[in-house]
Amino acid sequence: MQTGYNTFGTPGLIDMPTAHAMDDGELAYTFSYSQNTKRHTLTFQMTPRLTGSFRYSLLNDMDPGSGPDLGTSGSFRFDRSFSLQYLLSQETESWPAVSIGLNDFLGTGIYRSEHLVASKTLTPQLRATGGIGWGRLAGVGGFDNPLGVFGDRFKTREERVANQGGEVEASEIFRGDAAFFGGFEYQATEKLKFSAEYSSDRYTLEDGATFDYISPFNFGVSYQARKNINLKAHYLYGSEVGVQLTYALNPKNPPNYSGLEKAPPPVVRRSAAALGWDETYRISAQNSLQRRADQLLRQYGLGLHGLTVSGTRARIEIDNRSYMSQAQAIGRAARAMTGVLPPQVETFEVIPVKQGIAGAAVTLRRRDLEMLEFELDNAWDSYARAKIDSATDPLTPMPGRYPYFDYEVGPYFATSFFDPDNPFRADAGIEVSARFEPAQGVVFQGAVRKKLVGNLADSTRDSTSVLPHVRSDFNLYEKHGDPALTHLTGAYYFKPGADLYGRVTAGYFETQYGGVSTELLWKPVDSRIAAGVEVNYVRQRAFDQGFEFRDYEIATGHASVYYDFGNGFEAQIDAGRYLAGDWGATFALDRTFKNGWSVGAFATLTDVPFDEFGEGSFDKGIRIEVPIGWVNGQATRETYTNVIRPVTRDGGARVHVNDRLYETVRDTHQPALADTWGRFWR
Amino acid sequence: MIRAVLILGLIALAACSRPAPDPRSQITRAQLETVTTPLLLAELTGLGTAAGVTPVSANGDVTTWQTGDGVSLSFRSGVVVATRGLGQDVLSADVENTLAALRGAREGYYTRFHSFMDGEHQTGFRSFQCRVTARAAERITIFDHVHATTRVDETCLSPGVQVDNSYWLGGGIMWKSKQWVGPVTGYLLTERLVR
Repeated sequence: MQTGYNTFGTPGLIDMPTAHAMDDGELAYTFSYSQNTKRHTLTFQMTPRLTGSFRYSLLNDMDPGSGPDLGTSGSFRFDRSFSLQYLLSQETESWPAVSIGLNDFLGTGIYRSEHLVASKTLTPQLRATGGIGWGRLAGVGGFDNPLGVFGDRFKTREERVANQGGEVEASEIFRGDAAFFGGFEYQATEKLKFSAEYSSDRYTLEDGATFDYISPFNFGVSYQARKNINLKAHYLYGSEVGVQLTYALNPKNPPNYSGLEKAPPPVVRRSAAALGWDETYRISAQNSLQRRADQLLRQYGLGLHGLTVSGTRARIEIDNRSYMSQAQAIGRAARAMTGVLPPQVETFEVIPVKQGIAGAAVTLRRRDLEMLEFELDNAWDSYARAKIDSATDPLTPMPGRYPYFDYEVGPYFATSFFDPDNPFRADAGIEVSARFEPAQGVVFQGAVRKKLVGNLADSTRDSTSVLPHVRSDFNLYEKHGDPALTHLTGAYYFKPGADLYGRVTAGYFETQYGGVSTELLWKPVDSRIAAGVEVNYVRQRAFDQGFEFRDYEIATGHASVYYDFGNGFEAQIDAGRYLAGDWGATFALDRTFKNGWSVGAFATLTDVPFDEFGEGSFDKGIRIEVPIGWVNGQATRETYTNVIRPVTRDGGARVHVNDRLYETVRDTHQPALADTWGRFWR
Repeated sequence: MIRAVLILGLIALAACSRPAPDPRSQITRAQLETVTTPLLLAELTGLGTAAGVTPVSANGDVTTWQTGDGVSLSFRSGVVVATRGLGQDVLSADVENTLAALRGAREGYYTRFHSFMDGEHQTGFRSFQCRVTARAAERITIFDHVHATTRVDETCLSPGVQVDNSYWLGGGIMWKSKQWVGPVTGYLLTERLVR
């Protein structure tokens, strides 16, 4: 039986939770609507057992006296809330699935509740769920808290005092009265499911104004319209009809499987020339070896940075402008080189180059390429025989590699979430970007945008921040920046020592700041851990995003540690001084998939007091990165990145600088090469 | 060579337009007579596409054929060992026992292995238990040319999958075949148009 999402967008029946977790990695957006209530929820199955949700609710005709006076305009409220559910035990033959959940433990508290829930699949078509709830879920048939046996403090639940939201109020969790809830799900056909439940949520804040609460029984029908789309309708609380849509996908299920990009270059055996296969690649023999190698690599979306042959050894430096997986680029470059390098060359040392700096040196034997091309376990065999270490000798760019110029004209799409007046705003237009590399390691880049349609500039919520307005004037930038110079920088990348990487960037970094940025990173090729420092002197840009600046300027910088746990999680901690002059640290944890997806969360705590920070108390958010190639199956390094903040304010804000060092070297080192080696022969 | 490219273009066009017209209706024996390079007609039942493919490279006893738009199919003595660019590809395959069975050198059940790429780009393996279920002489006609072949039917089982492959071999050439590639890709149907 398929587990569904409830009106809160969490695993559940209709309005109540159920115990089963979703498939690991599933990401679902749920929109639910009933009289005066709209909820948008993004839910992520973070680990096989832990489910996390972020919810944005738009509520009309709430009791005006309900809870703290936040996000309220008249009887309209908008409310953001987080939920977590953890699967304590999997369902077995004789034992139900059991989960524990926390709702709205960070927000302003409208949906604050906790639950312990059990679900058992009785027949292949019938599943029963029963649970005990606290807080909001103890509204009907409440009884004394059974946890009271552990102490009287469990018996009462204090009303949340008015706050800015964002604070965990652990002292209230699992306190006060408790109540039972439960229900049944019946899978009638593969696509059709019926549900009935007894809800312990009394909707006290809503009853009478938002809708009329008559009965605790809800009835629903769910229809799986497509693989990714679920539609639901329900009869709620004896008076209302609700509808719901869920769109769910899993990063582990790419729609195009291993991708639709063209076939790789074939291996040309040295013995094949005699059989007439030397014309596999029709490359003119007139040109120099380097020219021929470059022409060949270009046919496969790569470029030659440099090539030196000495005796039986060739050093091949490649520019990968196409493939998300550097292992795939290395595999393709090595195969292509079998078609041009003289037969006495036995060892290929392939080095991916980014921003003029060398990634890992991957040493392959030509004989292995020839032998393994069609072997069953060739991915593992080629990885086991490859030597991956740091590139020690300086790079040797081929004549004509520099200067390099490239430009692009294309569409852009910019979004803004959670403006109370309009929770989703977007602009679309044209972006012209260009890149110029006069010499190795020197990169000039810039972009200009012209809006064609959109409503980002319609925001009228001016900043009320008591801190320097380092980010909260974002709507003024959106209003006045058309056309906008989004960035224009000159940067120099270099390797000051073994395992060390350096960067100096100057110019207009981003829409709101310009200045000088310097960075130093330590990252051994085979290390899961990296560390760096960044020191910037920045000045705020004028709202029109031309060449002018405003008066605000500040020195800001961070010390950073990056760690890849190797189990699909990566962590980053940055400690230092933020744009408003506040000191503190940012903690980020991302679930990363080996196909390039990542879904993560971050939080920044600084010395700005919560009440001075304003709504939300501290900066936090969710970030999602989707490789475009995952979506369309094509060979592209482009990704779609979105950072969703419940509120954008001025504490804990950082400047954005393009092509920071860790993101530059990460995918050309271990463990990323090992993680994506499955694409070596693709 | 030029004729082959023209026919390739024709078949590729047929494959692109939807609904795809039968590429067979676009090819005549007279056209094929003018083609001097080997040519294979390849269709995929699951994807509903068809294309002409020509050989581009060889490594040992594996020959790789490619369509005009960059999809490649690699065969070891006519049996598929790799595909690229279909989405749900065969990354590699161990078909030693199938080849022995085709030669008549293998009785009873034997194993066969395929590898594929999972959603996180890691290599996955699928193993089959296979058996030859029929072997008979059969005369087949490919665009007016009659070929005397031996037809061999092979049934392979893997958890959740039953695969029915067929091979028509004559004079050391795989004139026609039906070979399983993947659950979504379906079967690859080949016909050798030009030797």
